[in-house]
Amino acid sequence: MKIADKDIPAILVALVIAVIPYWLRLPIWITAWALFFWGYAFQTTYRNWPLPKPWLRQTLIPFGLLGVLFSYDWALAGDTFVGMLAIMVSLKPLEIRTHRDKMITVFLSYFIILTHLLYDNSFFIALYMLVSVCITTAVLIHINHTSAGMPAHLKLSARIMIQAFPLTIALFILFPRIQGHFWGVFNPAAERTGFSERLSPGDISSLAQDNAIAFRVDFHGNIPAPDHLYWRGIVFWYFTGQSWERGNRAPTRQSPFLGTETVQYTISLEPHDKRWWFALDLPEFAPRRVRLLDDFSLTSWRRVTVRTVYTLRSHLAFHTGPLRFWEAAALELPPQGNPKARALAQDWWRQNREPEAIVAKALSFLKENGFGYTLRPTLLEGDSIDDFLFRTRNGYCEHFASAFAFLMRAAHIPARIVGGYLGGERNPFGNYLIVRQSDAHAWVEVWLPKTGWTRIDPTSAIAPARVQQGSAAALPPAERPIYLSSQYLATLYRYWKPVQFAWDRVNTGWNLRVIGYSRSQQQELLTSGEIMGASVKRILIGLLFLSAAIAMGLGVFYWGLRKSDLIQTERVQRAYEIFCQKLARTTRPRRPEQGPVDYGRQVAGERADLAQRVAEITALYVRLRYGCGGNEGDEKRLQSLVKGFKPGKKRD
Amino acid sequence: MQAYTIRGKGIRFRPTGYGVLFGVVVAAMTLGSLNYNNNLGLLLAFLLGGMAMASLLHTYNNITGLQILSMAARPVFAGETAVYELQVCAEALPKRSILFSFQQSEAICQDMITRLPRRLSLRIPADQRGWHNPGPLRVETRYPFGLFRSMMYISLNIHCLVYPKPIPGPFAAVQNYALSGSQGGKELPGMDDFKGLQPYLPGEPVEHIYWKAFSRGQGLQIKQFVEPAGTVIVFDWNSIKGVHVEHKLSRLCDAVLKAHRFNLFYGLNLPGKSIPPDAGNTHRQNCLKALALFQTSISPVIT
Repeated sequence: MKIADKDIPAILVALVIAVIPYWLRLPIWITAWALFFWGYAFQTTYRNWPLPKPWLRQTLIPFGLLGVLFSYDWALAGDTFVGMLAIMVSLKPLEIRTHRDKMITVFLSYFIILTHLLYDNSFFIALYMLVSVCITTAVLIHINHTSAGMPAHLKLSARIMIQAFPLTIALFILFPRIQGHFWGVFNPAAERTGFSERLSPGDISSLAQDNAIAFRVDFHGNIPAPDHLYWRGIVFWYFTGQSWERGNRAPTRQSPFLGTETVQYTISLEPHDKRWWFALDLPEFAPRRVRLLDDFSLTSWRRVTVRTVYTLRSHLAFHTGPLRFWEAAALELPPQGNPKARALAQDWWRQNREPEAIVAKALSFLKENGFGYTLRPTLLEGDSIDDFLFRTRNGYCEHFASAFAFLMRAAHIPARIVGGYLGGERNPFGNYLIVRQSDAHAWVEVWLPKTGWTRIDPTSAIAPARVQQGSAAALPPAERPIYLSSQYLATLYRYWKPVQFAWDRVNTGWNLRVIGYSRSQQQELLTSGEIMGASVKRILIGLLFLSAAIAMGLGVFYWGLRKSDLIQTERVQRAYEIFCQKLARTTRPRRPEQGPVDYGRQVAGERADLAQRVAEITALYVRLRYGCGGNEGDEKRLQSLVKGFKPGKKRD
Repeated sequence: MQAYTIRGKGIRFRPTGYGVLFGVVVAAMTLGSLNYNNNLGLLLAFLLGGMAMASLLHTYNNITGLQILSMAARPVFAGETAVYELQVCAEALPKRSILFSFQQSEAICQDMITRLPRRLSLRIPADQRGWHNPGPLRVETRYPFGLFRSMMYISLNIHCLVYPKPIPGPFAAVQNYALSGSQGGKELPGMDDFKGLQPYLPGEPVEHIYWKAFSRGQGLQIKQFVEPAGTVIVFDWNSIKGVHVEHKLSRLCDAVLKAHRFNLFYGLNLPGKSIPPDAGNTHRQNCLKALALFQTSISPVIT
């Protein structure tokens, strides 16, 4: 018969806690698979269920792995490996027999914790990581030292963790970083929302309900007015008849761009797995290893797979100069299609060739013909521009931008579509902007002889609230997010919002200081003694406070540990020793071999005045120490008697 | 012996196999995190490394201040198991998961050692008569993580006396002769004639206790037997037939044990050593010790 192994439930707890952050990410069947086998492993210890035979386990593993490959469409990407890891880890507890198996499973648990950090670097996950490491370490202690209870192990594990903090922080600051990679990276976060090389109707409206953060912006000064917060990302030059494409014609800009109304800001860009970087209007120059194209969009050599922090200087007022020869692409249209729209634009052009007049006519056309701003537009058929302009007449920003740019080109005005974000939410706790995927937007830039490339946002003509209050407020009431449509939820949301902002502030600080700590900052810190504006002095003071806090925490832990760790007999012994020490000042000390009763008699002989109290303490001690344990009250009484025992000076 | 307290000097540190594996895991985590520029991963790797380092301190603290209060072993017969009894305690803070072992013994694990002395016994099979030397005592701990071991060898110089293995045989093979001189006519403790009852004193053979008197509430009394005066026996080396030394010693050992059991007055005659006839526990031990150490060169100093 198998003897139940009490370590297995503890190991299972550590594994479950390590894997919990994955459960939203993994296919549901892998979660079910893991829970099933872990539940079974649990039952083998508690109900003595038989362990599956080795051949069964060895058959299950390949099936599980095939299942993972199938779930991920046979792609060998990061998610697939994580899924495979989950499959193998879920079967591991069923083959735990020896101490070695247990140790390896605990190490695996640490490894799982690590792999999750490839997906998520938030402050919350860091806290979760600490908790998870603490529990896993407690299990590690448990399998090496079973007799004490789990609470004591957790305490010890937390204590060791606190003791490890100074070394950890020192290593973190000083450990040499590398630039680039040792080997190729697979990107575990392959499925990101955001812009692609092509803009089709429906692309941006699909982002509208995605509350994920695109980037955060910290202005080195005042935040510009909302109608200036157009974050340019990608410029679409080519119209295929259905969608707009970016193409590759824009050359790298050779000279810095100069305008007026300069703003400087730092963007912390979330990974979106594409090459574009976002900038406010027209950036003056590109950050290192990024190209500033002649259409003022920024592209990096590498995909943005990790959070990236960069500082830019932009100009809000400018003149881009004459139209360059390659920018003739801004007039190209497919030879056929959308005849009604073409005819309309030609009409305007014939009436008045002044570009500004044509732009105004187009805007008023959109304003006056009952166009609606909606997330759920009627499906377009046939010639999409014609269908939109003359039949459905409702859509999201990409519909308006696309139709407007088409009309402009048909009226011989150079036009291009810009994809990016509009607006952002100001965080009152840190005075920075949070720009979300739901702020994604598309607008048009036309080239006018007087002003050069000029931004025209046709959406603002139909839904002015979009610019001032964000996309949610501009939508018709039925399409607004639920937290804005229900009275009750709206109240709740008002209270929730500050919490969210405060949390984002903490996270942002975390991202800037800890996650964003890089080789260059390390060098900066080590050479100039400054890092991101914080001097070494400030850091040292911070570390001092931190270590004081750690010392205090340690003291509390240590004290708590000593108190609870001594068993009753030891505490009793200790009290009696104190009693003897007190007596030794006034009478002959107790000889090592002298029993307590004998000693009590001796003291009574020397100091008759103490006899009664000594007898009481001795009797209590003998009962607690040599009797059947005594009870709580006896021990407390002994402690208080010893504490209050004051033999005084010896009288002659 | 004096109490021995483990102090810093002489403690050896080694990572265990798991410690090495853990180091590899942490190194892999560090490399991977560096490669992915993942600072949080680095933080985790450094935290785990730092925790392993901090655990080293605990491993060290867990062995220093451990006290070996005493160690002793009762004599055994060859072929039996020598049992070394230790008394250990912790000087201040409790010690956990301490392994005690000799080279040939199985390790004994003490989960918790506090200030209260605790007794534990280590067993080693003793095959040869003479002084059994267990070698240094090995004290080891892997607490708390099992990644590092701190270990110390302590030479306590405690030995176990191993008597020859008794081989049963005819008791008559020994030579009887009369005791001469002053002891003649005295009554000697023996097994033949019942003399009377006497109050029991600790140390007297239990089989002589008169239980009927005890059950009547008259306390513990022993039945006394006497040997007719003047009869003593001496076990002589030359009277045992055979050439094998160990065999002869075993036979003599058996004779001594039997004589003691029968409460006889006996002596021992070995080449180079002779023990005059006497009785009692001390005499028995002297005789057995003489047999155990016969022609052995090892004579350890016992402190």
